[in-house]
Amino acid sequence: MSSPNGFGDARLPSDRLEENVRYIGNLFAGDDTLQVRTLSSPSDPAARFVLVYIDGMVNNKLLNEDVIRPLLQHRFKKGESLTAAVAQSVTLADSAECTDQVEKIVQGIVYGDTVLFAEGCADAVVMNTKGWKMRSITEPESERVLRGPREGFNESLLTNLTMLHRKLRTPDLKMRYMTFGRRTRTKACVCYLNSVVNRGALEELQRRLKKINIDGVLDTNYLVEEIRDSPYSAVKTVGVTERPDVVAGKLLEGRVALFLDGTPDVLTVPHLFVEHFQSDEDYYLNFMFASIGRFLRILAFTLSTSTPAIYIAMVNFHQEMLPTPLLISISSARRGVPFPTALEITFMLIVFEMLRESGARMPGIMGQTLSIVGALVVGQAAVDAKLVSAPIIIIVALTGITGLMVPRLKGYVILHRFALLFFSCVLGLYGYLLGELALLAGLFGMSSFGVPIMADTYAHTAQDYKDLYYRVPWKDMILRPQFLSRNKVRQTGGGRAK
Amino acid sequence: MRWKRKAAALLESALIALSFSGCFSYHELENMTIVTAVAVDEGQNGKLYHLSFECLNMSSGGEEGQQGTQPVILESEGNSIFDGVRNALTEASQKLYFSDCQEVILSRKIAQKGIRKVLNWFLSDAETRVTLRFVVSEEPTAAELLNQKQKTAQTPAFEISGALEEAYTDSLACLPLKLYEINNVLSEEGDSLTLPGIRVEKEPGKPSWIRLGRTAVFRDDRLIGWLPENQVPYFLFVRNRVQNGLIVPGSRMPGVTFEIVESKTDLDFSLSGSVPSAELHIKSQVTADELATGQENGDLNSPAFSELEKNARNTVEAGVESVVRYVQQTFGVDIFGFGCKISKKYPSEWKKLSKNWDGTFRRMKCRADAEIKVRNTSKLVERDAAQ
Repeated sequence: MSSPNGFGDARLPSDRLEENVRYIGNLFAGDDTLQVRTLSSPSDPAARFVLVYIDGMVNNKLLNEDVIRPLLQHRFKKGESLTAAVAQSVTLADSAECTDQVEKIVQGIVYGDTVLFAEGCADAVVMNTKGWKMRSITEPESERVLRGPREGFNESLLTNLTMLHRKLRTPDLKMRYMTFGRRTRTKACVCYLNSVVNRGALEELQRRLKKINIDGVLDTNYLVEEIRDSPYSAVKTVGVTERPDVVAGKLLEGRVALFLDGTPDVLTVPHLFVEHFQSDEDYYLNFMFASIGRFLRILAFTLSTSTPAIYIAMVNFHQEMLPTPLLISISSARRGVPFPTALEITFMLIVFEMLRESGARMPGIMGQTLSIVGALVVGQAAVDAKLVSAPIIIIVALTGITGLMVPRLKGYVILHRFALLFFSCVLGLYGYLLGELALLAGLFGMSSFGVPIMADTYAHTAQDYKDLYYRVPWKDMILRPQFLSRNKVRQTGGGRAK
Repeated sequence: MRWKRKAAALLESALIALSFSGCFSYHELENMTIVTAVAVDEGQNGKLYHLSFECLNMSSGGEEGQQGTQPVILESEGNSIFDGVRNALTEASQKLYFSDCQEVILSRKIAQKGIRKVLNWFLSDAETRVTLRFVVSEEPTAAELLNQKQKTAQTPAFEISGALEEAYTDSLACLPLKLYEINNVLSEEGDSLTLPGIRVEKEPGKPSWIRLGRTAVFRDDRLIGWLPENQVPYFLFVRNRVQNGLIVPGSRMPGVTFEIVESKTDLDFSLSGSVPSAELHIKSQVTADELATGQENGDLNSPAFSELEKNARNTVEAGVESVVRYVQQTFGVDIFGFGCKISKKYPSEWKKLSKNWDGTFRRMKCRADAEIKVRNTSKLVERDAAQ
């Protein structure tokens, strides 16, 4: 990505050592972590070198043993180009490039390479000595599983790509580097399996990425908001994950993954609506258990968006649909409560969301539990004070807890819960149905990188149902989802016992 | 920009929706008085109807609301049923809510005058359900039924509705009809209405209580008489409305009781001759629940048992024939639905017969034959397959 602040085609000013070093020093003026080490070869005093690196970014051991030691021990021949000799025969670093482009030199220095300037050479050698402290590979907090691999991505691009390589050991796996951000110059990588990938989505992704022109990219979310379909919608059309096995699974289905240096979140496109309900351990647990889990999640999503709306519709407009004992108990619970039901529900839902948000940033898992319990206790106190009626607490608790079951759709659920509630307050059950229709119409019209996000739900053949509301055993999943990839056949025969 | 238009459309529709309806026409639950039973009497002071509404007493808290407390009885008068309902607002502080109304009790005088006018409002109003049950009070007024203190903790409305439900499924005490069924009977030719009767039992020294009584018989929509309680089971047999109940042969076979498991009655008519005649074929499966002494461990294949069955058959046949004769002689209205069945099977003959159906009905001959099969006794002894 060339940018206005880049160095373009600038070259080193001269072949004199002091001038080059001063030039580079001026670029980094004010940065005290820049280290300059001069040395000269004992065999030839005319061969003087200067090493420039940033303290902390380099692995000192590598620098000492693989760069400085061989440099001091080498016998330089007269008349040869010092930098060429160093790059070819002296340095033990695994990557050494001779260049006179300022851009490359500066990029090397800032990322942990060591740059060697030599007397009488107009170019410099950029050697790989990267070594900085990194967070170790741990299980991602937000994607815990009962069974399955516990690795999660960390902030180093190379480590992440390595983890993916270990899962897909095939030359079919392609990884293309890209850079984003004028000031951050963050490296990114687009990965896909060549024989399986959805070509349309890949091309569309690359096309959109090329158009990005932004100051800095710190996390993949910056990219997401630039490239996603339906940018103002609450529905995710780009998937995010922190687990390498999830990414590998998605690549095998024909999706494309986008890694970014400095963040463990990896994007996958295209992203379908039903993926919000899928959890990776669906595939690691017994298929019966997983199917029940998936069914429960879909049910929880429905309940979470619809429960307050249906309660209001029933209690305010369609009382004749309630059985008599329920009617009596709700009616007597509401004696003495000052506010109309619509106001009560809205108020309690907002209070619940506030408590949940405030508990979300609390360290550890205790935060979530505390906030839910707190909400219920506050609710109970409100009932005792006759501010709200008791059935409301149950409704709000049910809504909130089912909402937590599908965390990926959190924003969508909250927004549309209030929308449906509003429609229901206005027109009763009729309004709820109209609101639901509007939501569904919106969902079905959305697409993600050329693939409609609700494509699974209108299955054409029995094959498409195999991974939708439940998951069939692996031996029966013979084909890939059709719309995702042309290369349909996932496995032939399956490990069936004859 | 397109999204601006979309946002504007959304905002507009939200504003329109707010002013449309809904927000202003919702009712809160606690602002309604829930009516559980209505009693219709003749009005005083020149009005036609005197209505009593039994309403749930909410002020004593949630769980006890239905049971354990005396319900609130509201009374009002009016020249029509709807008029009476609206006039209740002078006594009640909130509008009456009828969707949970369990039944309507009619007084004898109202029933004698004709019930079509009473049914009209209950049929057409949106809140009242068409599954409302109607009963006739055997006491002089209907309202006094609502004022009884009950033996169980339930209010009179739930007592009566519970008893009617039980009667339909577990005993042969009456034929509880719902509003839409009553409407069907009244609009059909060749069928006459019957309604269950409720009366108050008094015992000296004890508080009185409500129970199911005789069945009211109507000609068209006017009450003309009462069918005694011991005839009602056989009446149900003729109408093919037997679900579960008991056949007690009585003095024929003391100590024996049969419990009906399944029963079906087929009616055959022969229209040759001056009057049609009806043949009832009753097929029942029963279990022998109580046996005479000496037969408790009886062998189902023994001749003593077939004697049992024969006696049961005779009981039913005699009872059925006698109830038909009783109705022919005492009331002269076809409460069994014979005319209706003839009109469906032989529509061309019916045209002639329908002109004086009641008279023809009185002269009809009726024969019954019952097939009672005893499946087992209550001791889980199975019958031989050969039998």
